[in-house]
Amino acid sequence: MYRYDEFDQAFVAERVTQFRDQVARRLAGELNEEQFKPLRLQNGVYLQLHAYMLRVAIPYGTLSAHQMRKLAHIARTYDKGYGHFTTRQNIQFNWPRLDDVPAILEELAEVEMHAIQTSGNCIRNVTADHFAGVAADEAADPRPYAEILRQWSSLHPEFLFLPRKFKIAVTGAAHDRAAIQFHDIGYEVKRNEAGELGFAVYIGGGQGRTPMVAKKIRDFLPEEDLLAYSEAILRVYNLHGRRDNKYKARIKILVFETGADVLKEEIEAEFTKIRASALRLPADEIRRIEAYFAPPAYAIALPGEAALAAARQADPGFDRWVASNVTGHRAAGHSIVTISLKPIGAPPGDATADQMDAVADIAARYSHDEIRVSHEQNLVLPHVATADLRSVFDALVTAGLATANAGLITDIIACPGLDYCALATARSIPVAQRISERFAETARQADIGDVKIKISGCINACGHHHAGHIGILGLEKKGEEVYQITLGGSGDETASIGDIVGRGFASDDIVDAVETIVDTYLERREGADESFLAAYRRLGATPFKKALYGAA
Amino acid sequence: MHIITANRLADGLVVFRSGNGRWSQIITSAERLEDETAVEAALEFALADVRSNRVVDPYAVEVVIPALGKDPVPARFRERIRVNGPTTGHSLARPRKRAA
Repeated sequence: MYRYDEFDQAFVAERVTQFRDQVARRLAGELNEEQFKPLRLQNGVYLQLHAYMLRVAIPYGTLSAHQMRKLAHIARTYDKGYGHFTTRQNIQFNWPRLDDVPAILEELAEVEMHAIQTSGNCIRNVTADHFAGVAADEAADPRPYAEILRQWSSLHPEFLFLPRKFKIAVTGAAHDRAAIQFHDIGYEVKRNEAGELGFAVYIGGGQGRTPMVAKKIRDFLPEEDLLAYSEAILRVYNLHGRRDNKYKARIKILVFETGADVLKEEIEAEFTKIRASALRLPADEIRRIEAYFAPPAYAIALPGEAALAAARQADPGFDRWVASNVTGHRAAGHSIVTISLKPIGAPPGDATADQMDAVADIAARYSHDEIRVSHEQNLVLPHVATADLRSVFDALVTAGLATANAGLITDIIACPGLDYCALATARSIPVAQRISERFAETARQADIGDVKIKISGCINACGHHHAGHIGILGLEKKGEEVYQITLGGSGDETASIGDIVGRGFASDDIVDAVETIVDTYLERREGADESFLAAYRRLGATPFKKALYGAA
Repeated sequence: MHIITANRLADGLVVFRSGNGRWSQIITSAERLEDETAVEAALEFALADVRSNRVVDPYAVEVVIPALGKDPVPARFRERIRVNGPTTGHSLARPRKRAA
């Protein structure tokens, strides 16, 4: 894992001192709300529907057990005993007192964490594939590049007041688990024909009220040019991005209105100018950062497979969990474990302080001290010996974290919605809970297979509904919650935006509507091998519309 | 009918303005404002409390009184959730350890 150097540590400590002073001046009335608001936002403090909310950055979703214990401690000491993991691989605390925030930030700094740039019109936490470094299918670990981007973008003076927020994601595999085509910039680490590392570059993706799939503007950018090219993109965006209308200020609108080709020309021209500058990445510096992410010393040739097969046969519950929550690892004898934060009927992405501690203990014992947060609001143990899977499962059962549903229909993404969010127009979490309960039966979930349901409580689309195989958007109509369904969205390498299927459904009817859609899929699929998304892409919306609204 | 709400500066919690100028987490004592003039006057007082750093983001909420002697209930769904707290999840019945 990346460790702060003296510069990082001093910088974060200085920032804590600065914000402590700003909070004191705010409480003393030396700063008014108008002056203070941008300062608190730059430190991750929002004012939500019921209270302040603190969003803590988890760079590229990688955490140590020690850091997870600190998050548990913060949840217990300063909040209501839980935290909420988000679709940007961060964690949010929903109830901190403003006057406690400096103390919280000081505690975070002790474990090399902070809340800088988790809000505001700046470059936000860089996200990455949650299986980075351990996925069997990747060209290279994307996290060293994400870390280099984090260092470059942290308090970059030119990019602290962009027209709007700016999100970057990096994947190291062609199979995209990081939804890079729904980001302002998406980088795919790849090798060219000569075997050299570099990036495919996508810009202008995003969700919100105007969803766009990103455009690829470079098939191969040499590794050394990562920062120069990023800076060129940011400069062009900073210059031309609209500041007259908040809703048209993201780079996706600039790409759409200008055209990717025209914009690319301008980016390339700027890139040519700055390419040979200090922004060029020296190979030894990249390798130095890479060393932080070197795989742990795995025990070799662990005889796990035969025992695992026997254990699976002996216990159907364990078997189901392995089938859905365990993924192949690049190192022999090892597995990647997804810890579902979607127990049946529970709010997606929440973990209690005790659960966080339990995950930290399990990671320390079985996963070389490392945990990941996925954008699907789950946790990941990236380095588990296959021979230890049963022990990990048992420990997760004890912690109430062994739900066998990763990637299945009850593994739902939901934004906080109207239960917490000041912007929301309808609730998201209770809808997720009711859908989860409806589809709780495990055999049925296994039969339905890979269906991604994503729920947003307003058009800002924090719940990624546009990218859901089944997307649900909560709106308010005549004082009532109404839910609009989209079908066929996807956040992977075949990225697509879901189609609105028809008029919305009342809260009482939305779960039935989802079930109708799922039943229609089951009736019409060509076999269990044809996933929901594949079937939808083959069939189109018509059979689903007919099932939902009748022949008319 | 309207009441005035805001968030308390130090802890961010939802508060309601009573007739004697106090801010309370309990809606019962919220001043019930019958017309636009009364709302405007109360908002002026609330803005003064913003300037004196007691609360932030005050605004008027439309309410109804369901029955004589009952607490005001906001007309809008969003405001009802804001008054009563999250309808689900881990926040329910869990006090923050460090209370006000």
